[in-house]
Amino acid sequence: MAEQGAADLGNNNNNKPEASEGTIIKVTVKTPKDKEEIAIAEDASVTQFKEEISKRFKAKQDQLVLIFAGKILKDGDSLSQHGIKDGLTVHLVIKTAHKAADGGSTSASSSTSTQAGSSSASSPAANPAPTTVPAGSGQAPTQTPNIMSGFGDLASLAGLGMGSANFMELQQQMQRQLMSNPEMLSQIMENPLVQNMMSNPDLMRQMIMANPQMQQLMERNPEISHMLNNPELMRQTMELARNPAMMQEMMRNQDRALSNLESIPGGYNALRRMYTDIQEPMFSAAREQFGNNPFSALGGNSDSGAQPSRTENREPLPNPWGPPNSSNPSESGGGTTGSTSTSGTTNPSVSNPLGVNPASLGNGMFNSPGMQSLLQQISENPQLMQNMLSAPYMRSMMQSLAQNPELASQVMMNNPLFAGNPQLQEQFRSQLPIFLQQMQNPEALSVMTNPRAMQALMQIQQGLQTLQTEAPGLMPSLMTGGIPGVPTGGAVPAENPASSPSSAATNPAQQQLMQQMLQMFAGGGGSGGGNGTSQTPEVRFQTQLDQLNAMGFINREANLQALIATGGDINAAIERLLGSQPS
Amino acid sequence: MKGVEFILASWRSTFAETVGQLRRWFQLEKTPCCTMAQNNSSFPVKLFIYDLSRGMARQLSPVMLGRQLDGIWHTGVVVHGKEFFFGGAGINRCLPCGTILGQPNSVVDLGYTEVNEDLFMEYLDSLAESEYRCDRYNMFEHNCNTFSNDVVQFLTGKKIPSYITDLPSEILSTPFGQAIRPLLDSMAVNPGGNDITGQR
Repeated sequence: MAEQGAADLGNNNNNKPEASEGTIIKVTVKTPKDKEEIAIAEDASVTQFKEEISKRFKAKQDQLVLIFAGKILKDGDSLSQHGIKDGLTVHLVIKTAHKAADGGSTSASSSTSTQAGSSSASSPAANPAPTTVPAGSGQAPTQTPNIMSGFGDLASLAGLGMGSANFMELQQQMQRQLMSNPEMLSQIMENPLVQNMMSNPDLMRQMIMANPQMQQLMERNPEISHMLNNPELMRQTMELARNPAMMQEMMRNQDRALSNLESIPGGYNALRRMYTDIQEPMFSAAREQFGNNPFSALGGNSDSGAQPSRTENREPLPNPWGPPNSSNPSESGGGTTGSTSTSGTTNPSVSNPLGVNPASLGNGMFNSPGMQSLLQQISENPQLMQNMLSAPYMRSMMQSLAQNPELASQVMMNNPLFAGNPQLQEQFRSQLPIFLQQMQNPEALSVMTNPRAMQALMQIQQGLQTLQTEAPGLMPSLMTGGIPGVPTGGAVPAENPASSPSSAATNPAQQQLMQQMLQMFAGGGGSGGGNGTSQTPEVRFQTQLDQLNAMGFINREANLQALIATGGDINAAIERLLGSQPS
Repeated sequence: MKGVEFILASWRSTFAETVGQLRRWFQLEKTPCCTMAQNNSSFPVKLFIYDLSRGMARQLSPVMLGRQLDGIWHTGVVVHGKEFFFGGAGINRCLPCGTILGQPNSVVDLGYTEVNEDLFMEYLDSLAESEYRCDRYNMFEHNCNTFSNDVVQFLTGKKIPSYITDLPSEILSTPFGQAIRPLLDSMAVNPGGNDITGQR
């Protein structure tokens, strides 16, 4: 057949009995890999069309599947029946062996990998509902890296560079890296910090609940909140996160278990009870077992969880996450819901059930080389910070921080910048509520996420330091020079990436720099020159306090707060005080 | 601090996927994700559209780009009970709404297709070896929306809404877009899911 002579109308009556009209149309036939233009009579049948195609694409006719406008063209149809006209595109799929007659098809679209693909495709085809096991097993490997994607960041971010500005994409890239390096995963899991985090189901639950999407889902499906409350499930999930080899099995067990749950009317109540019974022993057991394998603790404990809950052990257990150089005080008193006492240990409180001392979290996290490189990365690229900040969960994180100032303070306290300066810590702690409020203030946020604003702030600080060195007499209260900190605008302002190289050496100047920074932020950009000495606020502001007292502001606490917020600026402090007083 | 945030984020995504599975088991199918009626020869095709910027683009685009972009659109094609999309790791599939992007911003109903699942998987496999290998991903020219467009045309003959496919050119037509083009070229959107050919 002279299909090459497409434009030659005279050839159209070779093998086309119906081609009395003689209209040849050019139809584009598109395969996934290829595209060809085929000339065919307008009123040809699909069979004839396939003949042409099989010649052109060198495939057997029964391997060809033609699709047009969502319809599969059957052999008995005609092209015009489907509305195939000149210039339109018809899609072609050349089927592989298991449907066609011969196995070794030479068509462009089939290959050995297609075999593998279609074998997994055929099982979903047999199962009209969305696949459970294959999809579950397929998804399972990605769940491990999902859990650990954050830690993948630490280890591999340094090498990754700015692979992605979107934090979610960054996560996914981390997942992939993690997937390709199972050793990394086991290393990460061995990190006691990780184990502690994972062993705190309530903390996990809190974090999960903080996710608005989860909240939505939980509203719609109360069963899910029961699931989250199920310690068995949590433990299983954590275990299988540790052991990718177990993953599939656990997922399948989980499937079955959960579908059983559904059918047991009283099952949820039982689970909830069990959770409450297990909760306290589990927490204390987990803390006891720090350093050992917390999962064995959990495993062992869950066996005993079936027994009636033992008498509540009100005595606070040694805090395994205390700062490395602090001993573990075994002070008694205070229930499991008691408030925290010393700054070294953090007893379990209502919002912090496991008494996880975030200070040590910060310790572990910040000291890792990965984190250092992360901070460096961030400093080099404010865009990342910006995107990180704008990620949706950032907001919820900051909100929960604001609600839990103690957590935030612990974390910040542990920052190496502050470690050597207790006065600064105190000051920061007092400023913290204000600071957290500022964090919530979208304007402050936008300032922080604006790289140009950040740079401007840097310049201001640089200028201040230059001024101080040039004219020390002019501003005696300014600190000695150091590397200007780059305000990162992260949830913790003390994450000072530019100073990360020197973060190991706690430079008092840096701390005071941070102090200044905080004052600036808290005061909404008040005088940058503020008081930078390392005395306590009361001492520093003694003069101002006296003045305020003389003016009639007798509320010393409020005065102090106002002074701290405004960095010692009396007039601004007065305005603040007046603004807050009922007038 | 950041570590906690990482953990939080990763747990979010983990549990989002787990919860997605659970919803299926509990047959709590009240979202657009799972209500797929199927009869023998006619399978509904939907386009799930996600805004990668979660609303930030709508707010910030006039400032940053000089023109209004309502979103940075990522699309996935949902057919045969699964969601398919093209990302940095190649063609992926997952359960509908099963990526960390969660629920789509909007769902476009594209009608029905007669292409059954076997045929569709073969088609996708071919694509995965040719046009839509993982290394073919380009954020501007050959991205998830390109893939969705091709797949939807294959399935139904229709195209996806033009505001999605016009997005790269809109961005590139701004000076800011041109400036960040080298950066974006090196990026890839990869919301997760499973690689369709089992390769990475």
